[in-house]
Amino acid sequence: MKKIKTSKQDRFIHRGLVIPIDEASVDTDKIIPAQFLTTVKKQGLGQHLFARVRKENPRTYPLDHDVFKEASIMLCRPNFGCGSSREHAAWAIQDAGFKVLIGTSFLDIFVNNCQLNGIWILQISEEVVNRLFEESQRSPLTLQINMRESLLQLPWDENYHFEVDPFYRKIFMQGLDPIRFLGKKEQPSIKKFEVEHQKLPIGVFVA
Amino acid sequence: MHEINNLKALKKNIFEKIWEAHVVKKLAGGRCMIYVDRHLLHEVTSPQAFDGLRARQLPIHAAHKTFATEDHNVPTNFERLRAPEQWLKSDSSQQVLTLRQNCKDFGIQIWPLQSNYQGIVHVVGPELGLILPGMVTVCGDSHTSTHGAFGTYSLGIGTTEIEMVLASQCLILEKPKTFELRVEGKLQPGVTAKDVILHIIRTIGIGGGKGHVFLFTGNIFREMSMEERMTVCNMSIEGGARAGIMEPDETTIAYLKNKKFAPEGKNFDVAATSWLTLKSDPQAKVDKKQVFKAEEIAPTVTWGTNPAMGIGLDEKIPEPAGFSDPSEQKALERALDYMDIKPGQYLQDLKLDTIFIGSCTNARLSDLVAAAQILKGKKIKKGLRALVVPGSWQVKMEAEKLRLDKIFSDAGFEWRGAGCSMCIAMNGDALQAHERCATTSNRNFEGRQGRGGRSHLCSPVIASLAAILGRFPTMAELQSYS
Repeated sequence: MKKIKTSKQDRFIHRGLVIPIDEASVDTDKIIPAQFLTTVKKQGLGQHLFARVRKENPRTYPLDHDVFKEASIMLCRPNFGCGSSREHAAWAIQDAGFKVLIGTSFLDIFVNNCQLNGIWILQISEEVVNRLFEESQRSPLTLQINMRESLLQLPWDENYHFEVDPFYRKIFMQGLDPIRFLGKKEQPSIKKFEVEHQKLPIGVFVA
Repeated sequence: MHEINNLKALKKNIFEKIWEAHVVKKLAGGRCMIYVDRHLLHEVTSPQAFDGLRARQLPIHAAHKTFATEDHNVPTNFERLRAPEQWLKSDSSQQVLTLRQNCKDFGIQIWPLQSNYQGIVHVVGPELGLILPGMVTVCGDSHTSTHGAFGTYSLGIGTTEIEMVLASQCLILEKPKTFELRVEGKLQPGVTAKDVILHIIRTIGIGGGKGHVFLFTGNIFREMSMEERMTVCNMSIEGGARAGIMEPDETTIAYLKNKKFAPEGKNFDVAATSWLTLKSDPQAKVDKKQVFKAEEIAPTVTWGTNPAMGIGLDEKIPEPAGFSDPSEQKALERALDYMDIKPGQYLQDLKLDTIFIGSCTNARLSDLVAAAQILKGKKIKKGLRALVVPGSWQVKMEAEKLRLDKIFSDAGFEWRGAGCSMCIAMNGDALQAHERCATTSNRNFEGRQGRGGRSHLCSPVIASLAAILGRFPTMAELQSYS
């Protein structure tokens, strides 16, 4: 398994090699085919990332190319991660050594799944994405992302300020566990809600 | 004062009403803790969630609101069902056994293989009356959108979110926008609910609903049965929307009456009265709206590798050069190559190898009845493989009471047990490479039904005619059967 190079001093900065995945509307069946969903674990799916397409389309999915062996950033076209809600797609991406996905648009469920696993999703302008694809065709790119400042250092001497969902930003920056938050800390507010609603007869809806 | 508040309140759409009724707490950054009334589970996406719960030493919050069944991995062929011990020792059964153990450990009701209520989770939930108007329903499967047909906010979730719901009955969600899809007028003969949703997706694209919840309005949806409404809502996710909602009405009430988990007697009447109030207010706003004329909807079949690549029965396969966007052109060229189709061809030119009638989109009783009506007394084309997989054991038993199984097997179809089967091809029911299939399922991505398999999405009516002809029917052939 590849090592993800994050600065030892600062976990909010990531510098890594970029692999361009030059196809629009990459669905989660492509990212991780259903035959690999039979696992009961989260680990071990990295070797199956893009399992079918990487053999059949090595130019579009150059994961097996020596140049990209250490890539930890994926550059994506629009509507990446569409289709099934399988979180296995995020686990496969992470297990294969990827820390950041950069693209124009990603499907909501996929974004949730990735960010809950600590994979950074940067949804940026189409113009910049297109230019990054062009640059990556000239030579392999290395990019640096500063999550604290929300800055992406572009290879043409420009800093791009990206937007991050405040919820995921908070979880990441403060190292929070949303499951423990809901399962322990927020139990009183949830129980209060339930008590209020138990007063209604079963199945009744009140706006 | 009260009247003024009421006037202000008369501006909410149905989604806003359901959302606001489920806000437990507002969090920083615009997210809300949303309460989940109903949590459905299956074997593929849940194992890691239960392990997480154990690792965090958290108890399950509301086991009585959680229900499980086995669908993705289970075999659908009878021989194996008669000797389940053999299958239970194989690798593919590990997830099923894990789910059974997890349900036992956490006190969750499960309907396993060989029980009377086993089946595809999105067929089982509604037929048991587990989904009631006004609920928030979740499941680790994107076709959870199916249940929006009952006037619910029903969405697919990932495994980590499953763990959140197990631990708290809540999710932390961003409020989506609303996209009204209105279909008015009269459908042409032979045009079904499946064609309506395929037409909508073809028009708005697979990313069209991203960030939105669909609100399906217009007389066409009001005139549909619950099963037809489920077919439509099922494919909301294929249009990019995590959920789709239809207003509950008398049809909804009639469906739910006497269902196993629906309220009973006087309680049912009280609940039903409240369900009829769950409508968008006359002055409610939506973020986006598109109106469709029902007459313009053709019987639709997908030719390509995503659900938006659909055409009417009489249309030609499109020419990529006719599209201005270069990345769209590239995608179409790739799809044509994968599907081994040429622009300018007709659907009727394609030789079919397999027919699959099944999936959470179209495997309910009315779908099987529609297919059987066409297949009665007929034979499938020689050389074709055809299977029909009922959506649940209940559907299977009802179909057998009506002797539909005999119609299917006399025609040459394999009559199978219930499960997801060839929709996702995880259980051995799969296409061989390059096989072309007319399927009533919901996804035609590359390799979805088997590596190298070529999937054409369509209605049960078209799939049945295709089974007889060995190819897709013409409009004239379809209309003569309708």
